Amino acid sequence: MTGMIDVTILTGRTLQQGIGLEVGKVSEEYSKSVNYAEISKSDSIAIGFTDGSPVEVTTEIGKVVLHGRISETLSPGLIFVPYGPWVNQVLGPDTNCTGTPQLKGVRGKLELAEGKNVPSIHDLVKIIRGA
Amino acid sequence: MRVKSYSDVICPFCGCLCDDIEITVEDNKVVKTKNSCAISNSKFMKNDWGRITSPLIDGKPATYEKAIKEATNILSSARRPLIYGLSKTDNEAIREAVHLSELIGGVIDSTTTVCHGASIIAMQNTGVSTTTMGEVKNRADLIVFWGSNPAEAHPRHFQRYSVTPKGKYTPNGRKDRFIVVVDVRETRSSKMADQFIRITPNSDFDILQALRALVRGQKLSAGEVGGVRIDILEELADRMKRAKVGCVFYGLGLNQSESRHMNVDALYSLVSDLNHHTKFVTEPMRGCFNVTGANMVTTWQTGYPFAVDFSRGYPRYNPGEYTAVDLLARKEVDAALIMGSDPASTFPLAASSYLSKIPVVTLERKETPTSMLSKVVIPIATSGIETSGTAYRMDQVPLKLRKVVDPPKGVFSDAVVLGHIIERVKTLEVDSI
Repeated sequence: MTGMIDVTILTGRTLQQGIGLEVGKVSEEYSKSVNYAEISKSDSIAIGFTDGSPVEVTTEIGKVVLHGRISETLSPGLIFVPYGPWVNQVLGPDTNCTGTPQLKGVRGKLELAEGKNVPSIHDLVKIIRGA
Repeated sequence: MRVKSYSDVICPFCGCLCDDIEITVEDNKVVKTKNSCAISNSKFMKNDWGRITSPLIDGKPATYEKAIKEATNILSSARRPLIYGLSKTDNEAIREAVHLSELIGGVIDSTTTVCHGASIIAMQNTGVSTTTMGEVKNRADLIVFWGSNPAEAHPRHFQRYSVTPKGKYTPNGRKDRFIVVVDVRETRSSKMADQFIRITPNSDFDILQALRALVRGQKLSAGEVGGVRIDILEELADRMKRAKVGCVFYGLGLNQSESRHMNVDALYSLVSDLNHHTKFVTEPMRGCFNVTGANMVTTWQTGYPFAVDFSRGYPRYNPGEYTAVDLLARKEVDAALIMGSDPASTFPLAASSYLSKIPVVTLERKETPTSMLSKVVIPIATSGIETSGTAYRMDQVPLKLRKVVDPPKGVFSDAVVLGHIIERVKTLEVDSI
C-alpha cells in the first residue's frame, strides 16, 4: 500500500548534528546529520516505505524531500527531523507575538518521493534566494 | 615542533561551558582533547576545517579595510538595520554589538528569539525559582528533564551536574537521585531515566496545569491528560512534593510547541506551587555557549534581554515586534549584521529568504548559508579557542574563556572587528555634522 498520511513533525537536536555543524555547514557530515526524517515502523508500512528511500514532507508552508529512516521507538503519526535548513523549508514564520516560530508539533503530510532527489545545501541556498 | 598543553579549558559549544577540558596543541593546531564530549571534540579538532581566511565583498576577496568600509556604509546608510546572533561569541563582543546598534539606530536581537525567548517572556510574567548547577549537584534528589534531550544536546550535563556526580548531600551520586524524563518521543536521555513519561505533542500546557491541580490536592475526573494516565500524574505530583530538592531542566519542547511561553508560564507556576511543600527550582537548557551572555549583556546595556529597538534613540523592547524572525518575515529591515549565528539555516524559509533581498554583513569563521547570501563577509577568530573573553554558563555564572591557539593571520575577534566598524561609523557621523 502506498499513499500520503497525516503526520506531526517534531524537530530537535542530535549528537551527530552537533558534531557536523562544528565541522562546517558545507561539510558532508553536516548534511548527512540533518537531511533525513525518522518515521515510525507502522507509518513506513502505511506509505510503502523501505529504509533509506526519499520521502516528501509537506505542510501549508511548503515541501521538502528528505532521506527516510525507520525508527523503532517513534509513535505512529510522528516524524522527527533534526533542526536545519532542510526542515525549515516546511516551517512557518508565525511567532504568535513571541519571536519564536513553531518548530515542533507542526501538522504535515508524508509520502514517498520516488524519483526525487534530496536537495544539497547549495540547492537550499538557491531556494532561499529565489523564495 | 612546538607542543603545548592546556588544562581547565572551557568548551565553547553549549550552555554547560564544561571547564575541565584538556587540550594539546602542536604548531598552533589542536591535536588532542581530553574530557570533551563528541561535539566539543569536533569543535576543537575541526577548528581549522573550511575557514574563511579573507574578507569577501560580493563573494570576491577584498582587503580588510575595504570590507570594514563597505560594512560601515551598509549599516550607517540603512534606515532600519538589524543586528542579529550574538550567542556564539563572548560578552565583550556582545557589548560592542549593543553599542553599534545604538549608534546606527538599529534593532538588536539574539538567537534567544528562536530558542528560550518564550522562557524569558514567561520569566517576566511569572517570576522564576532558579538555581545554579552547584546547588543541583549538591542537593537535588529529584531531577525532571521536560522537553529536553541533554544526552544529545548537552552531552556532559548528566555527568557534571544533574545525574551521576557525587555532591555534598548526594554522596552516592546516581543512587541518590530519581530521574524523570517527560517528552513526546523516546530519546537517549529517556533511556537512562528511572521513569519516562511519553506525552502527546502540544499537550505540555494541559499536563502542567493538571499537575498544578494535583499538587494543590485537587481530584481530577479525567482519565488521562495529554496521553498520560491520571494515576501516573498523581504519582509524579506526589514524588515532586516529597523531594528534598527538586529541579526541572526544561528544553525547547516547551518553547517551540504550540502555546510557547504559556507552557513555560505553567511550568514556572507549578514550581512556585511546589515551593509551598519543598524546595523546587527550574533551569532552561540553553543551547549556544553564550546565549545566556547575550541576554545578560543586552540587559546590562539596555534594560532588556533581547528584541531591543534603538530607532527612536532609546531602547524599546517588544518580542513579536522587534524579534528577528518577525522583522524579516514582515520585510521591515533594510540591512543586517549577522554574528555568532547562521539564520539562513535556522530560520523558517519566509524569514531567511528576506536575507537574500537586503545587504547583509556577516562576521563568520566558516562558510554557511548566511555567508553565501551576504554582501560582505568578514572572517573572525573562534571565540573561546582563538580568543579569550567571558561567557555565561546556562545558570548565569560568568566564566573566563581561554585562548589556546592563534587565529589565522589578519583575522581578528568579533569585538575587534566591531570596534573597527564603530570607529568608522563615528567618523562618518563627525563628517556629516
